[in-house]
Amino acid sequence: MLLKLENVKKTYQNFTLHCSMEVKEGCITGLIGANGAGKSTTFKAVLGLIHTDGGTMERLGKKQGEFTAKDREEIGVVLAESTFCGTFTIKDTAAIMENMYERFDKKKFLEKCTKYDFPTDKQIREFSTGMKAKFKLLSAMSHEARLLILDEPTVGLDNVARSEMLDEMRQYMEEEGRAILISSHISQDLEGLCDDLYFIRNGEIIFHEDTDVILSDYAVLKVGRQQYAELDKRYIDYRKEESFGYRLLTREKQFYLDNYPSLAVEKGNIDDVMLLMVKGEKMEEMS
Amino acid sequence: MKRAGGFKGIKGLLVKDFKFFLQNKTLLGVLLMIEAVFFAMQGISGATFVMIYMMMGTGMLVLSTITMDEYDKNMAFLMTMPVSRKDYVLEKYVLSLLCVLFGWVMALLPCLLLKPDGMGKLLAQSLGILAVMVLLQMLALPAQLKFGGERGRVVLACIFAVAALAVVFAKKAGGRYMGPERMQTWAGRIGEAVYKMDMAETGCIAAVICVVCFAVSFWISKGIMEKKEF
Repeated sequence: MLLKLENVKKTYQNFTLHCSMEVKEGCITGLIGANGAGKSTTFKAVLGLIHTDGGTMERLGKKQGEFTAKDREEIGVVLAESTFCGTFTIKDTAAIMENMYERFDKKKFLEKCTKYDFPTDKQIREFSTGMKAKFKLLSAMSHEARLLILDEPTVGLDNVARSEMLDEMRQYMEEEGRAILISSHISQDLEGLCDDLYFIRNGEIIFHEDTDVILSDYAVLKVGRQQYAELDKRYIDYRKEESFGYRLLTREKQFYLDNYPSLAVEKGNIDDVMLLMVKGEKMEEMS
Repeated sequence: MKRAGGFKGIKGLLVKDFKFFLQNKTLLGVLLMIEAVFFAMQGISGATFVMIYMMMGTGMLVLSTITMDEYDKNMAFLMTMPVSRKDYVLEKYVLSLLCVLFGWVMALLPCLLLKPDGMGKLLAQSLGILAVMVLLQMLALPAQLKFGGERGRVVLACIFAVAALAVVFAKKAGGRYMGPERMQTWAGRIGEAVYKMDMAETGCIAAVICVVCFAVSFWISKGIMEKKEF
């Protein structure tokens, strides 16, 4: 286990984070949620950028008190709103990282920068949003970290660049003993990349599932009011009222396909799961 | 495998700050140019002013590195690197000493070239100014870390103003309660005691005061940094 959070708490005036999650070796774990749900606060807690109010945390197998600044060598980070000072060039950042990290591979890093046509003498603040995003990701992967913590790493990238960066991440994971914790607003990225997903809402993890299970077992049923009245609702998790009747989320797709062949059953995806969980009503709470 | 962090982390931070200085070489150039102009106009008689000016200028550069670290939320990223908050504070203190020493050397070099009479006295004077400048840095660094950017400088100016007012108040209050003559005798005794000391004794006392201030200031800065959230 490269990361384990148990009941980690952080209280602000209008927001409380209460989070438990795990990132296993060899896995890419996604953290999804709306703006302000607590994704960045979770990342900050993991990185020690904020002081937590309770709970326990294990990073790289080390408990909170045992984890030192030196151990951060093993963690590569992309923060959504922060990177090196904008007046530095790529050459400057390479020199800084060379003196900061034992395993920083300067040659490889500069080769990658050349591959993506980065001007090594240009100030980072003059980079386009996409270039900046690529640079942040390449920096995080440049020092052979075991765990990558990536907060919105693909934001601002066009489709081609996004695909290139996702490939870089997959390639990174080819080496054993590594893991990635990633957050993104682009669900397609997460569907194609992550092994499992956590969904955070109002500071609490409300859902955790393997991506394969979401794609194979989850489904959205579109039913009229009459169909809804006659439906076996035991396996319906969320419901959202629509003009035509109801949109329902189930994790037992096969049950409804077998027993209700006339129903409109749409294959589940992250967007539907998120939307119904945020906008819909939970069925357990209704009964 | 060698471990990162500690000295390695501090080295990385120093490289970062020296890179920042190199980007601001025009500012350093202006500092040196003004020094040269001053020496050309005033000769050795302006040495004391140049010393204060140079050491203050280079000291301010250190404070501007903290402003740069805090600008645009850069500090959050910096704190994800293999450096502890204590390492960060220590690096700023090391940098501060290096910069003030650089200012001292740069101010002293023209004096050595001009070879004035009483070079020994000038050197002693410069060491005194160096000690005062180091003490000022020990005051400025916690203020800058606590309040950051422009606010830190305003707070620092307020601290100096309060200190000056305290001296004036102490003088007036002393004069009122002790009587002007006793006050003068009291102050005079201290002055006389200092005057009677030889260079080595004065140097030792100044060094001890600097080390104690360094330790207290570092301890306060470490506390400020450890409480921060990014």
